[in-house]
Amino acid sequence: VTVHQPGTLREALDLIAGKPEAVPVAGATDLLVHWPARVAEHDRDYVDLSRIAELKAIAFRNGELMLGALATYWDVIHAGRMKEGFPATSSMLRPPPTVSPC
Amino acid sequence: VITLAFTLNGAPATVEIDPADRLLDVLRERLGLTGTKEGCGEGECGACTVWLDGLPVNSCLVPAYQVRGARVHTVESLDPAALEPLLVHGATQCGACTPGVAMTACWIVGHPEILASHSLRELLAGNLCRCTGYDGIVAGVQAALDAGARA
Repeated sequence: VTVHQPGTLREALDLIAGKPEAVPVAGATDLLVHWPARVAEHDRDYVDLSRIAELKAIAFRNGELMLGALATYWDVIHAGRMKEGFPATSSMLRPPPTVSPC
Repeated sequence: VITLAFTLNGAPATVEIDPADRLLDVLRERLGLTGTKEGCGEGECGACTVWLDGLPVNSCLVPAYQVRGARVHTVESLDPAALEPLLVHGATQCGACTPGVAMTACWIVGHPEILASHSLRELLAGNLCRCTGYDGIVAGVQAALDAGARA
């Protein structure tokens, strides 16, 4: 497994253009479920996006909400104006209520 | 092999890792901090909860290389006295979930303002207790919060 960590979107796009077979990695949830047990079959190049600040942006503009691809649920739920401006989206992103004892 | 430098429980740490290593395994097997437990290994149960830059995360789903330069806190960093309310309220049965519960509980106690927008049960929803002893856990964390509010 080889991981590249570009710091900007431009660097990431250049890396992927140069290695079209490379797999972009954001949160890595699915990869980490598989890597430990089956690392051999996942031995390839990865482009880790986690250091790219531009992709984490959460912006409110002209009544519209823009969510960067790397914005986490937690960051979105707690972003300023989220609850007031986009209550349905805000509540949709929260975890389901825990099962109540019956 | 890459060299990973980060801050672990307040002190600088440097360790050699493989790019495919999970933070959970680096903590337990390379750094000897076995307080963090593996439960499901797929981010469902929260037994492996640590704080990454001050927020609780499942360490089984964090690629170790991603914590370069970050602050990581494990259950070893907690003040045992802070866990007393969990003990008193029977928040531990078999103990499998306890290190993760303790990390989430202490985070909540350290950030009581979060309760203005989230219920305690919602905040604890990422930590599954296989004994289903949730009432004891919730009571223990509430007692810790009450003690914090009085202090």
